[in-house]
Amino acid sequence: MNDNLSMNNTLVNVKEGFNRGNMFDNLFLPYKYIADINPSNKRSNLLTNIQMYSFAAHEMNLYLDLYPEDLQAIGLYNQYKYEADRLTNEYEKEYGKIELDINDNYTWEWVKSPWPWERI
Amino acid sequence: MWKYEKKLQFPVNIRNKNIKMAKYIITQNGGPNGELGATLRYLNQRYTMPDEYGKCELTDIATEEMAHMEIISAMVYQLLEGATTEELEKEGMGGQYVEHKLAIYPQNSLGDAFTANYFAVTGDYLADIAEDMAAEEKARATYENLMDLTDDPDILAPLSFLRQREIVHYQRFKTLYERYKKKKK
Repeated sequence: MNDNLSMNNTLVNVKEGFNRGNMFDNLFLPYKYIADINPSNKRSNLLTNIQMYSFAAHEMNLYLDLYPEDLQAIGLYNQYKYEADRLTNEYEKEYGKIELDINDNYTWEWVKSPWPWERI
Repeated sequence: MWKYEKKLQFPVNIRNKNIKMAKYIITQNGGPNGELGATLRYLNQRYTMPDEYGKCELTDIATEEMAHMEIISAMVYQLLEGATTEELEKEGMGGQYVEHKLAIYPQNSLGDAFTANYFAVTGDYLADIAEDMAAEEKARATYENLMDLTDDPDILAPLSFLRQREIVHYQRFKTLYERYKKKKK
């Protein structure tokens, strides 16, 4: 087994990887059903995009923990993470905090609903 | 330390109440193959891993399992929303109402509370990683059993996502196991 480097893996695109729960085409083993997330409004569409790019970055993270010299995977991690951060900023400007950070408003933004288990 | 992000890893938007599925799905929070057990297993095993790869991978996967527990809890919360006592009793959840009303409690589908006896921490890295591989396979099987019991796409989508995560985690642990096996020779 070549355990030394280089992904040797085929990645699917961010949206498909998210629906599958797996960015690595060679590891994909479906059972019965594959999700097809279609958000019903602007807010949940933006949130879904954040979740998609965060997930893609997280997949690279778990992979890189074992293959830390893989520059291609580092590049992809950076690209996905950058996009997740950019979308998070966009969301937070309009809908409220996802991450606890500097509070530049006159009320404490973090406390506001909805919480993640509540439908939006 | 840990940092909370106010979002789910994967969306949960369940439109139809389903008490029966809530009763089954709660096992992936607090049952023998559930996400709470997975989190605690990896978090406690990571200290005695022989190298930085194991410490790092167990930390990151344990953290993801916490997010999975949150997805499962969000599902159960939404599946039970608005359930009446009559409906709960009809589906064999009268006991749930007595002990917890509609709250989330770590238990299996039969109502047995979570226990740390669901996992081992041996201090032997080969034994621990072998257990982790088995744990991922058992969780995958449990997700398939749950998927067999519903045809609601709102329920199937997160279950199928979570099942697939077990497959990816299994592969990461398998790589670690193979490296550690060589190391021990």
